[in-house]
Amino acid sequence: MRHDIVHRAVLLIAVLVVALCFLFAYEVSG
Amino acid sequence: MAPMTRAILWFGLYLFLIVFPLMVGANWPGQAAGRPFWMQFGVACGFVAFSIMALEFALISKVQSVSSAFGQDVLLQFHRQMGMVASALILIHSALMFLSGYPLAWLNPFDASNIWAMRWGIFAAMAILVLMVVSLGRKRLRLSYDGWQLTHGFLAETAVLLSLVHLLMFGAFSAGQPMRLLLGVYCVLLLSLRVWFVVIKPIRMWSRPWEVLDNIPEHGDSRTLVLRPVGHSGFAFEPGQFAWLSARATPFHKGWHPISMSSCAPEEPGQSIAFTIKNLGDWSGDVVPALQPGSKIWVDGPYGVFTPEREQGPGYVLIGGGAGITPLFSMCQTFAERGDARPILLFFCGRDFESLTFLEQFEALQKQMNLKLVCVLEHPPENWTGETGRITAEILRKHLPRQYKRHEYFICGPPGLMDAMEKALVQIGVPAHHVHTERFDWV
Repeated sequence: MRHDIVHRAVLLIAVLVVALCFLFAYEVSG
Repeated sequence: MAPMTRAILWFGLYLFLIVFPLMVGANWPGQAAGRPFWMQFGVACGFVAFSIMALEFALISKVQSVSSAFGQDVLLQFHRQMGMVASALILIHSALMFLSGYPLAWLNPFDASNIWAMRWGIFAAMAILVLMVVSLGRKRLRLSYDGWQLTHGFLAETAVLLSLVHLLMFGAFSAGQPMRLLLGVYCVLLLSLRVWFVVIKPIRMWSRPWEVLDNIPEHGDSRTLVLRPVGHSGFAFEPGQFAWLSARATPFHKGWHPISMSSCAPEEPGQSIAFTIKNLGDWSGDVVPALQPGSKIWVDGPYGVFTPEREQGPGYVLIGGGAGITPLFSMCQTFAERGDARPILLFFCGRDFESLTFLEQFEALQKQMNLKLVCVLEHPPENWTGETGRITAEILRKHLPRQYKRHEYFICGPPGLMDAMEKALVQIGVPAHHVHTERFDWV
């Protein structure tokens, strides 16, 4: 069921984005 | 290239493009380095939200290579859900920037102390808010599909443009050359995509008009439009696919409608194609019945991966209702035309006999192919001995062949029917990868 995969892909992207935002903030913050 | 490989490559590129600004920002922070953690986190959310919003256009631009890898309905669902992710990131971005010390007066774009960089950001956020309300509440607001398409496009373009101005004018991370260069590349890509979608694609379509040969009323408040290509060879398609139709004066106008082909899939292009459209109000109820033989119409297709051509199995189970019966009718006709002897079991759901489009044609097809038809009626006639009510796991079990777990399942119909069938099939042990759906409710 392709539509379930979309839910999972979006969730995966959201988690990945938040993790990368943390990394970014850690890297460039004072 | 195999569709799966193409899908993985496109998905990888998408992921890379949405996070690439973070990599550039982290390597060349310029004067923005050293600010508090949560402020930088907020900035990161803003950058990713901007990339996602810009790429939203790519998802709906009907690029054949992308569309044939995922299916246009899946891309629309992804577009919608990523839009929500972008909105959530914008909310987090705004909240963190104000919590990190931005003056609250900047929330008011008309405040005299406000700066223009902030005002554009607030206007962009407002455009996104209205866009969300209009998109999620289209049916409640009783906005026509054509009106919604226009509003949605205008608000989305405004939001991306204002966000870009906001980003460039604030000039923290974007003050550096690398980030400016990256944003420039994104803008050129986005602009090229828009020019291709809004100008080049319609120009190509303008030289490929179609003409209405016949407009046939069908049971179930539907009409079949038989169209022929004028001065070109049209296209071949796979059974179950759809195309976007427009009856406007030129293909430059907005107002495209996704409609499944209902005719037998031809081996070669050049033949007339039938599209069956159920009256759901506005375009399908007002414009379609008025189309006369000889009327010009624009067709953009074929699209979709809801087709047995790509899912070979020892037999097929088709479950349809309402307008969703159209692609299944195309599949059955194609099987009959090709002399395909594999067993097909069709569950046909509807309110009553009158609501079942193509019922007579399916009954006739039973004599030409290995087709078993099971009608499930909510309001059956008095002497009816068949299945009644809504289709359930019990009804499925009663009619499915012994080897049913090896068959491929195609479901198309109202969202309630598809949700129920997806659950019921998994419940009776059908592997999820054998269940295929086409959802037009994302449009």
